Amino acid sequence: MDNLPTNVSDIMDLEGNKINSFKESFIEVEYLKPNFIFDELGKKERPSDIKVLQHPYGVEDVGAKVNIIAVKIDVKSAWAKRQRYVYYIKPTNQRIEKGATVKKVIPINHQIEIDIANRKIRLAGPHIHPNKKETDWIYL
Amino acid sequence: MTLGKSLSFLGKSFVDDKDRFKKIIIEDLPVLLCEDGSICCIPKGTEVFSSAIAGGSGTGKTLLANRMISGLYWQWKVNVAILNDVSEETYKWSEPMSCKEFNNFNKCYLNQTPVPSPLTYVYPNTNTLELDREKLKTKSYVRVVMPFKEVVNNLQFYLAGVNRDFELGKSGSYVSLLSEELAECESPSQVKEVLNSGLPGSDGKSFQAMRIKILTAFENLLKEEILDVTNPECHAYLRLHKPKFISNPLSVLMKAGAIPSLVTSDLVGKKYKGEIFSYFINAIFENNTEDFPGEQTYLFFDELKDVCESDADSSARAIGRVAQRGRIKNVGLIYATQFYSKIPKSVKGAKLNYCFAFQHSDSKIIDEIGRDFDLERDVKKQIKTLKKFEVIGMTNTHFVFYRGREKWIDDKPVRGQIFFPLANHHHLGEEKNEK
Repeated sequence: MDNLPTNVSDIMDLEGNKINSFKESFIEVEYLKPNFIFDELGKKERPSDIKVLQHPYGVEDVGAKVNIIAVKIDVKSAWAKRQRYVYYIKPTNQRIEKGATVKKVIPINHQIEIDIANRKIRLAGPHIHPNKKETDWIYL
Repeated sequence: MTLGKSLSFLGKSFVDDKDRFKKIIIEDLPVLLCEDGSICCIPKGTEVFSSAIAGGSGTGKTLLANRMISGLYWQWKVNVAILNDVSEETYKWSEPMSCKEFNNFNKCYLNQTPVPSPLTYVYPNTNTLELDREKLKTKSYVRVVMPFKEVVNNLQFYLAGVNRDFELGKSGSYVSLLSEELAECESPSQVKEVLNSGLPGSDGKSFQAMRIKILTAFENLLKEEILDVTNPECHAYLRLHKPKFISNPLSVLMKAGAIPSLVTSDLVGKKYKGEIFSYFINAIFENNTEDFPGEQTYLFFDELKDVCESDADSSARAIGRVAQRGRIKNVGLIYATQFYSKIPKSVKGAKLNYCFAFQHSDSKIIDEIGRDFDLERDVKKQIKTLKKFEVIGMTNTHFVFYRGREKWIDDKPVRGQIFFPLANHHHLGEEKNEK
């Protein structure tokens, strides 16, 4: 914090008369330098160690409890050839939307990626998103 | 390593707060919050910088200028002078920001609270100047005039400002002979007396055309009341007792720790406007290294088009000198403009260090910015679609970025939202506050 160093009230004209229109009105001002606080642990990530699974058997072995959800879409909304569903993953303790189904197997051409080091999981494949090949990471 | 930190893998609650939360103090000048959450800053350096703020009306140009000025003053502790306030926008700058939305934003990202800028309002005296005493009741202000000596020494220059077609020509030599006597005059009648007795042709026969020409020119000059011959409330020079310092009013105010703001609303439409600007610019620029040894000084011009429109303007020449030789004299330049393509060549001739482009729809202006900063087509397109308070920062040197524990430099154009001023702002702060 700084106090303002103005002394305009000390200014005079060349004859030594004070300038009446000068007022000292900034004495109590305090300034804080720009700063921010960050959480050292908030963004701490270890080097990735990604394990790829083609079958859901191994998912529970690493402690992950997620479902693969499929939502049926019509042909006009599809962005890939012969696409009937959009897939994503959700923790097992969360509600499943109306009309969505839980898949027991990983859809063809899709895979589950688990970052063992940072304990996070995602689904990758062509029927995830029109512009993305993977879902966002879900932290376990 | 503390026990808490070694057990941190078990949970965040095991880490001591002092190990977990780190405070980063930014020494550079924060200007934008980028789309990726990083804070974009103008790096603090030993040399002054020059910067342009371009954008359409009401996009946030003056807000960014307000922010930069308080940052320069408070954080870098440099001298700042605002050299044209045409719309009396800086009246509110000497108060802390009152808009809650802006204050919350600054608190959230930079942990800063509102703070006023210590402005002192400087009014160049003219025959039409009327001060609003009620409005200025709590403000520091002063009326200033041109030093008589300065005008006498550059008579042709100032007379041309009063009367565009005036040519002193060879008659100038007669005035030069009287310059010492004229410089000692204390009233308009004394000036007339010196001219009447000193100029040849007092017999009423010879040199009559030259006499009338010079006397009329002086009469016009005195009528405008820009000279320091009568009014004791108007000052050409001021004095500071500690440290002992006599100079032009703007430099004395900066020496006293204030930010002088030259209120030029009354000069709009006056022919000699450019001459007044160039006097003050030159007065600060030429004496900066002697008046403020080792210190940086920044001159700010809001809406440059109001100050100079072409290279022929005396003010354009004065600003051009700052743009070209400012680095040597330690004088930096910041200007805001709606008409980037109309900046006189002498002003833009020197390479700009930074440019902040707000939303613009004029392709000519965008192309010009694109040429100066080597922008790709994609970035130029973005300038057209920027939202209010959004800006694209460009540089010919580099920006500094902060995010978490990371700090890096980059020279690519960057898009982001401006940080709001810490000092209050005309209209905008009031409107938002009322809501």
